[in-house]
Amino acid sequence: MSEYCLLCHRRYAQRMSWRHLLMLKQTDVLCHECRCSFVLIAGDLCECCGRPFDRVDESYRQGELCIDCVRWKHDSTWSGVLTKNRSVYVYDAFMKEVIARWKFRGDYALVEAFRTDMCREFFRHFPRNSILVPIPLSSARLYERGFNQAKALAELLGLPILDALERFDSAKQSKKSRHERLETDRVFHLRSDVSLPAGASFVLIDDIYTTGTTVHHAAKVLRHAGAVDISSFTLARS
Amino acid sequence: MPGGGACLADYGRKARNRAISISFYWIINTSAKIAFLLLLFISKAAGGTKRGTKMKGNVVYIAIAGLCGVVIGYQQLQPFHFIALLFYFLFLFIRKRAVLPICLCAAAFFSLYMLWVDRHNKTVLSRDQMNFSVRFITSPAIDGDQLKGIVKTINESEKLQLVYRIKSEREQQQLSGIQIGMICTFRGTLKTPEPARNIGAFDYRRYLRFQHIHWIVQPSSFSLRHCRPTPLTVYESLLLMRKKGLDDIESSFPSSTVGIVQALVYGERTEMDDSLLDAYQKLGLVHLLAISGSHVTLLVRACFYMFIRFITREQAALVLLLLLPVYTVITGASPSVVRASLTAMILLWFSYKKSIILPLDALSAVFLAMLIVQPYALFQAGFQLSFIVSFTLILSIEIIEQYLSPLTRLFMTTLIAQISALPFLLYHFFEFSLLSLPFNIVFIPLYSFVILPLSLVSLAAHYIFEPMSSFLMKGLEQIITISNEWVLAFKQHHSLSLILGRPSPFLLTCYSIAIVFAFMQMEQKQYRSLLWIAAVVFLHMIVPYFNRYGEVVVLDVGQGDCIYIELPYRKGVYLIDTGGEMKLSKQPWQKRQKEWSVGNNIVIPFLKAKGIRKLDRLIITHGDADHMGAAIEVINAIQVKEMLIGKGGAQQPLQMSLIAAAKKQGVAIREVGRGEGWEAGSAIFYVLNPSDEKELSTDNNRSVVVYAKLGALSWLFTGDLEKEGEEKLIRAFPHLRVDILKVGHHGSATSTSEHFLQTIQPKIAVISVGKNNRYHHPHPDVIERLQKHHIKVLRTDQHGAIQYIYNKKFGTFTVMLP
Repeated sequence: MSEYCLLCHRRYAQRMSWRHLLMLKQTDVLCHECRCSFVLIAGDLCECCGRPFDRVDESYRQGELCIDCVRWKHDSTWSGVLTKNRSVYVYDAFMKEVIARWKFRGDYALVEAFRTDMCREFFRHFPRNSILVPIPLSSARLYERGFNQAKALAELLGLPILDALERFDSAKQSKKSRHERLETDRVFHLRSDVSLPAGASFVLIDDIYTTGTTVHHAAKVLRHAGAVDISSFTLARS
Repeated sequence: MPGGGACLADYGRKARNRAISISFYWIINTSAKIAFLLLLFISKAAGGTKRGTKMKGNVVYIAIAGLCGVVIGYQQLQPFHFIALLFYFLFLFIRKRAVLPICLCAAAFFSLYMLWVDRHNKTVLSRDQMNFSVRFITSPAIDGDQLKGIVKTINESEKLQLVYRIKSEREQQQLSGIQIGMICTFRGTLKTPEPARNIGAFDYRRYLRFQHIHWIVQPSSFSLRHCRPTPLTVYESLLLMRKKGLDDIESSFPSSTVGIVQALVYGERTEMDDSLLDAYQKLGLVHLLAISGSHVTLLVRACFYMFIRFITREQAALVLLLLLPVYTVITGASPSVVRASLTAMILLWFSYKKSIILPLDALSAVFLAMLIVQPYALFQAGFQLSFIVSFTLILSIEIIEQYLSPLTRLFMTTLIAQISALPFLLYHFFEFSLLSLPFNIVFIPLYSFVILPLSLVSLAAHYIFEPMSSFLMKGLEQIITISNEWVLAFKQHHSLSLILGRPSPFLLTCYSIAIVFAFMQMEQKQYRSLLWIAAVVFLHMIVPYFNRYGEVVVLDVGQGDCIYIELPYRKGVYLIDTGGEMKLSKQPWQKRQKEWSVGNNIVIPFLKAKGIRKLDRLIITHGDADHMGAAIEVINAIQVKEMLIGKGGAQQPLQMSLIAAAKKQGVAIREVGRGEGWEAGSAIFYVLNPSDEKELSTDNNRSVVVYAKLGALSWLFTGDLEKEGEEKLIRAFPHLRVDILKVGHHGSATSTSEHFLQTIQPKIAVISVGKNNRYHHPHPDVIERLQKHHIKVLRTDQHGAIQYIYNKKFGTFTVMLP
């Protein structure tokens, strides 16, 4: 058990609870204040992409789906590619700062702070026999960053990981608009040495779900390779 | 040299005593040191500044292992302990392998340590010692005609409980000059303290033994002239200060507030009105009158914020660190004060060192340290309740902090504290009140924010600025009077008390599992699991109705009768007589704060320990005080469906007041005589006496005599029937044969005639008789007569309570005192 909070670096007293005592819950690496700053996604969700309805205007909603998902559904190239998406935290200013520090400034150890919530939320939405497919980085980006954040997240879950994808493009997704993202037609391709097991459910793992383009692109590649059930799971979503 | 051998032997004995007393001292001294070192070590390890310290957050597992160790060391390894320990270590092996070795060591160390302490806890004095030279190590207390205090013999350094019966009012005044630290010489006798003679009764011998006291010394005469003061140790002068402070409160505060102010300021409850204390106990409010964690926290906080106006935070912490031990001694060093102060000291020390320790670690370290100093404390109700409640509250912060409003938090805190204390309360007090929760929600803020601060301020005003204090005391008196009225009124009329009885180990396990499970669920905001606790309470309530064993208990009520009969599956619960004591008229100066009584100290605790909520029948054989003196207390404490008295008994003066009290409680009253009877389950009861004949002269011969067929055996309960009545009885029932005879009239020579024994041919005789009674019952002739007929005799004066447990075919007798 560490002495300092991984986020604010202040010394803190671990809060003990009954489940800690019986070892049903691991002790936290964050102090109570930092932990409380994370906002879990809960409540009424879009059936498809997991967007919380209470954080958007009512006009974005159509039945059980959000307008974005309706748009995906109507587009013939994308319809039915992705079964569903679920995310853990709300991508707010705080989360933005945390991810920036973790991903862009290389504070790799922070991944521990996501472990409990990641695992709990994952197994609430996905079956235990899922195969995880982390979204890859281009080799240049991987060299620059030192780790693949999606793979780091996937490793928290303790399920089989299949590195099935590779990336063509090297321009950052986050520097593009939705339109530009959609325009980019081929982002990923299947690695030549990989064959997908038949009939398995695949879950794509990524850090952030913004418009859903990245996971849709990746899902499309997998679908072309013969996969049927493809979902995605991300740490945060807007 | 004639006296040489004796002298040498004497010298040898003295040397041995000296050696033992030295080794004893060594134990006490070293254990305190070990405890201190352990405290330092654990705190250091748990609060270590290095990252990933192994001990952090883990001291609690060692504390649990230590607890297991002490229990095993005291009670030897029993199958139940073994299973519990095995489960615990299995859990550690799977989940916490890092601390397993140290926990194994702790369990082994504590069990050996407890074994060792228990082995060395024995007396060096001999029973026939007559001359004593002792030093008072506590302030002696005069209560009516009794002076009590703990003394230490000068030569052997053995602690004794001194009890002196004061003979006159003048002597009482004179003896109030005796103070702590005085050495007194007197002639007296040593008496062994009484063990528990009844189920559910207080075990005085064990209580004193836990304090390393083995004898009660009773001086035959005692005077201040044979006492001289000696210099006091620091500890003793603090105790003297405490005594002075208590006296100050008694002399300056309004009488209705004295008890409560003394309790709140000095943790002393002896001056409190007995029925009031009982009411607080019943409604689960008694913890407010003990100095507890919240009390210490409140004071420490207040002092800290006052000090930092003048000195730095670090200095303030240091000053408090020095003051807390003083405060602990001044407030009587009860387990809850020691626990709270030591924990506060550890936390202060860490805040002074700018380091952090988990409160749970601090509490666990204090637990271990207190076990080393006084391992027997683990078996005390106060120690158990104090630790379990603070332990639970620390672990439940997450549950409490789910809520934001202070009122909800108070509610949750109280609820959690109550739930955690429940099994312990039931084990020690056999009942709990459903009103306890609402009352606590009102009284905790009332005490913490009004009564306690007001008491402290008015006490301070009394010392600093007298005129101000009388005004404050007026206010305090008003508040306390009103709150006491409420407490008493509710206790009297609607205490909603649930008598469940002492839970068995199986039920205790159920309670613990249900409670821990409920707390875990509450952390996830699921409150349905509270139903599990309710289910265990319900199980506890109905378990006696599934017990296929019945029992007969002849209670040891001193000189008197009280027989409890419970049928299998609790198809009926009867009490034949209640015992009672002669009311001796006492001068006002002789009156004690709390008078001992058969009803409140023996019969009611027994019935509550059995979980009796309702007596089906209370049978009063006749109107003597030693048979029905406690009946009014019993009727007021426990619901009675029907009371049976002998025909024509309603005219007897004592019974008349009983009947009036019974009517007030709504008890049906029935006069019974020969020829009546009833059946319940497979048991049959017949009333054989009194008959309608008028010529039976004495009350004793009009006793209600009950013949009962219980399981395979038949019993005859004779009350105080004498020879004349016996003759009449066997004339009316010439074929009466019984297996077990409750010997009439406590074994008086006027009962249990030869002819009677020949006719009814009992195999076992039970005599309910007081130890050292003034009538010298049982009479040797009666014992001789019984022996001649080869009848096995069981006597409550020798065996304590006599219990017979039976089912359809078999039964066994057990006695409280082997």
